[in-house]
Amino acid sequence: MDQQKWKKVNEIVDTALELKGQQRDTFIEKKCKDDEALKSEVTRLLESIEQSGTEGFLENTKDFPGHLAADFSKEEQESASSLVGKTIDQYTITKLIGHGGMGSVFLAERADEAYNRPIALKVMRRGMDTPSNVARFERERNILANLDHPNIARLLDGGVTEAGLPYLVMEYVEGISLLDYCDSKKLNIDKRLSLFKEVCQAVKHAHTNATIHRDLKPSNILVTDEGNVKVLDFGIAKLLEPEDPESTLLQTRTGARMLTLGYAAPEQLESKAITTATDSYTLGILLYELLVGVHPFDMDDKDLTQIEQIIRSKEPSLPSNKFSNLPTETQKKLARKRNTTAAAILKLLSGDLDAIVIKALRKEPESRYSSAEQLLEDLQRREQNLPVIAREDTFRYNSSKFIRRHKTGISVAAGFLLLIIGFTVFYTWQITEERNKARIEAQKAEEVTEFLTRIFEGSNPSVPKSDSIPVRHFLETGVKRINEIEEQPEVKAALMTTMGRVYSNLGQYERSDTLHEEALKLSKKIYKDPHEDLAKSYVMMAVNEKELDNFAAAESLYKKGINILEKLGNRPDSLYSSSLSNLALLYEEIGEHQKAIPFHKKAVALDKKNYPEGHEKIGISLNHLAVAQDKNGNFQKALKNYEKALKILKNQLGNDHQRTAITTHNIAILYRNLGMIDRAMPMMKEALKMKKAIYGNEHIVVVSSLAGMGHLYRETGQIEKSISSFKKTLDIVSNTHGDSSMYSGIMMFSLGATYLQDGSFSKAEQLFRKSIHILERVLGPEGSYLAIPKHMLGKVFLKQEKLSEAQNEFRETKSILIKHYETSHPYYAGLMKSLGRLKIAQDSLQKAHFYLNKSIEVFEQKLPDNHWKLAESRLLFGKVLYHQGNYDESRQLLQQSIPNIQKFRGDDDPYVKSSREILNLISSAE
Amino acid sequence: MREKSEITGLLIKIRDGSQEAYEQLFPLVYSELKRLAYGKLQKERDDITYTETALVHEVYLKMVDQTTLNANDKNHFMAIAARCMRQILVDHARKKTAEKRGGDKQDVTYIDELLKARHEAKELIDLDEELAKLAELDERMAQVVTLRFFGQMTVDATADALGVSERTIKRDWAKARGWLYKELKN
Repeated sequence: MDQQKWKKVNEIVDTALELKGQQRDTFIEKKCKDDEALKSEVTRLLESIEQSGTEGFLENTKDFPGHLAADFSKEEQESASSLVGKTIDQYTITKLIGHGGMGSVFLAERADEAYNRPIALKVMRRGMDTPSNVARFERERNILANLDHPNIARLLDGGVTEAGLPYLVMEYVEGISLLDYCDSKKLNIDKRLSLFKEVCQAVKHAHTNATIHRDLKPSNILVTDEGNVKVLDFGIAKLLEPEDPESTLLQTRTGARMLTLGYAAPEQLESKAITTATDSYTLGILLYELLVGVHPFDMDDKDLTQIEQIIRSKEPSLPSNKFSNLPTETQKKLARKRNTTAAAILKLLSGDLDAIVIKALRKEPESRYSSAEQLLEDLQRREQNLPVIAREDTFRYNSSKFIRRHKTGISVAAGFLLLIIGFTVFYTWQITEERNKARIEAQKAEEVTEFLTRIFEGSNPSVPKSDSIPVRHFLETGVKRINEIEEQPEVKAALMTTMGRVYSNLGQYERSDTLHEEALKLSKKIYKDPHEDLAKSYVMMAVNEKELDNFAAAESLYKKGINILEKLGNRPDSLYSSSLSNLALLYEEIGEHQKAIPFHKKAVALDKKNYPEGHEKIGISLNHLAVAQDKNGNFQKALKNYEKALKILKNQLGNDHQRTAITTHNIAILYRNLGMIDRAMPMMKEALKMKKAIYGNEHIVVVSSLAGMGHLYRETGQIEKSISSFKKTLDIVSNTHGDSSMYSGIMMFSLGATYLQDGSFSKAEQLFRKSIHILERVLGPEGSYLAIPKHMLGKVFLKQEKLSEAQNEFRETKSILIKHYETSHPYYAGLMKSLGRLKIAQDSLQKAHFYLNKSIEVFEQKLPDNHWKLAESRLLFGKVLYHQGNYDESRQLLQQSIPNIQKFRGDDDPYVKSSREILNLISSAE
Repeated sequence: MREKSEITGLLIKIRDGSQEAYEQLFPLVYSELKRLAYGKLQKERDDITYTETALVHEVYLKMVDQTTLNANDKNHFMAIAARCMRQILVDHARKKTAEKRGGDKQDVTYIDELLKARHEAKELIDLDEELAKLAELDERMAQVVTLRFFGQMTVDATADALGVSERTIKRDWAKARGWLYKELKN
């Protein structure tokens, strides 16, 4: 935005802020005129002002300085060394060993020499805040002091310094970290495992004493010169957390859990419950590093947010995969440190160790080893060549976990899908060579998921909606599992496509699109040549785009899909023809009926090739073609195809099928449009009967045919029947949609039209006004349907000789029509006819001549020559010609047109009567 | 630190419209504020009530001889301090986000605080950048945000410092917030 534009926006917003509701809208509308960009800037800013006010944006600023202040403090350099030489209680500090975020560690000795071994004294950086926290510190410390295990560094004592800082006294362990120890001694995998098991023993001991370490990391696991493993700092992380949950301030300030990033479990980042499984996770990382030589996750050069993301959601690679993906040089180096070869390491890792490590590293605590003991047991089973839990569990984990969780009806189908996905994962693991087998699995998956997809298709009301948690959860998990497939991209792509379809059926089009896009990306990699799977992805994405009203995108996607299918040649499946039909239907939806026709034709031709004569598919595609032709004004062709379609549908599906009913209804409407009311009537009656049989008397579907009857009764002068049909439709729509829906509006003006024809002007006027009111509310002041009641209201005024009111309504009708229709539309011709009548009433013969001539021109293009509408315009034109003294042409027109009305509405019809009078006048004048 | 009287003199010159005085005073306030910020926050890091507002006031008390100044001068000083505070905090935030977890691995990290501080640092930098853009369109609106948000100044103090009515400040504040919200949250 530049300054000039900003000035404009600013000015408008200033005033708008003083205004409310409608007033504000009108003001903006007036100020912005046609400048849509300006208007959108203004509205967006106003919305944001409101939103920022409600949220108190920038107002709750206390957090900002608070946290940044905490951050400033990190810059501080601890002057811990100043404690050296001092005495804390009975301990004399001799040397600073190190310090970190938690505090500083000193070498110390007892001043009273009651304990003459060296001890480590840890002074915490943070104060204990409250007396209750100090008390808890003491309590917890006593529990820890009871941990007595050869592999655990003992906690000897503790207290609070004069400055209020808590300190702990521990057995001093001189040694190096486990990882460094193993590398420096070039320990092979077996020896590493046996040291690791000692760590597990220590943790197991703590676990059985209800203590969780929470901060296992290499620097906390030392090996002494004698080769003894010692785990340090047991439970100390917990010790320093505040207990009082009500002091939220304290929690955010001092409740910071002390963790080492690479060793933190997901639940520790999410502040969820810490359990013994948390230690299993950290042991898993440790084991990973001991075996492979690298950390499971690549965290270097990542910022904290990225690391957080990795810990929470990235699945670790199998240790063997990780190792084999390392550069050869690195592999060799690591192998030397393990006193073996790279190949041997790979062999050793594959299988049981892979499975054990991965189980320990699962993101969900409940899927891991629940404690160190279980992990230890699995390692022991491996040594004894017994089947390990982790191995079996991998398969179960991938397939059946979610069946257990979801006990709705859907779970059976879901279970099938997951079982099959499970199988593919299993195959990935077991027999990566056998691609063919995987292919078969993919087919199986297709069949089952076909079933699943159908369940979600929504025709069945007993199916839970997509927003019910188990279904959504299950689907997401399905997607996650699919994402885990690494070895068989074909399977993966096929399954993704299927899931995409499921999401599409649930109306989650964007989610569905993502899946299709991924599937597409994969398929493009796998298949060099045009392949059906690619086409499938395109077509399904097109369906989504269409649902999202992105018609241009949908069109281009359909075309891409169709293009591929065309290259593949005709295949005995319906994908090609249904894609053609769907593209055509898309064109129709955006009003491009002409474009639709060739695609429908192609679909019909394909279906004729692929299905035996008279198959319902052919009937359906013929009906589609006919609708497009009908709408495009190719009535004769449409009629022919409708009739063919109807024959097939009646044969295949019988009378009691919605498709048969729809086609019958369509034919009736076409006959009516063609002015063949005598043929339309029985067809419409039949369609109505069918619909009532299928849906019952009161269903909304019945309304269109019932209204069709109402129109036909009116057009044949059966006023009573017409009124009762429309009244019935009004009852139904007000039951189903309330009494001020668009449907009500439409039915009101339809009923009004019958009253108008019957001469009940006040009833008609009332209905038109009501209808206009409703439609304006629903569609806005210029909705296309509004043209009809406005036009009709004008006709009422015309009949009542309120000419200027009539003219007014006609003018409004015209401005609406211009917005929605081309001037060659029959609606226009209708309005021209009314204007012609108005001009006749105003004695403006020249203008009447002009309008009626226009009306006839359009009707002649769109309607068959014997249509009653055309006849009405011609009769009026004949009247004008008579008044203009052109008797010959007038007589010719009148004589030609009278029968086209008389045959439906009889001799008493006003048009028929007045035209005959004129004929008489002409003959007497001559 | 310079004499109180000298700083007070600068402030009086600024009242009379001297740009030069402003340019002399700004770095003085900046460095004093920064020194105070780091020092204070270190010593009293557990006292969460110690906010930047208090800091600004302390700087004022330290640097200025209040007996010779009126309320308007104080507000001018506060405005300068607010601009300094903005710069100090944003500089700090920039430094924070630039740090990656590199070779020398910190043994233990206060994850919660760090993550939080990072997120907020990012937000702060974004805010600062949008504020600069806003200043190009409407200088005064950006000033209002700096004073109100970074200086935690009240509406009437802000109005006094910028020499416009409270009503104008309120409207500018609403619009500026809306504008920033639109740019940052959408």
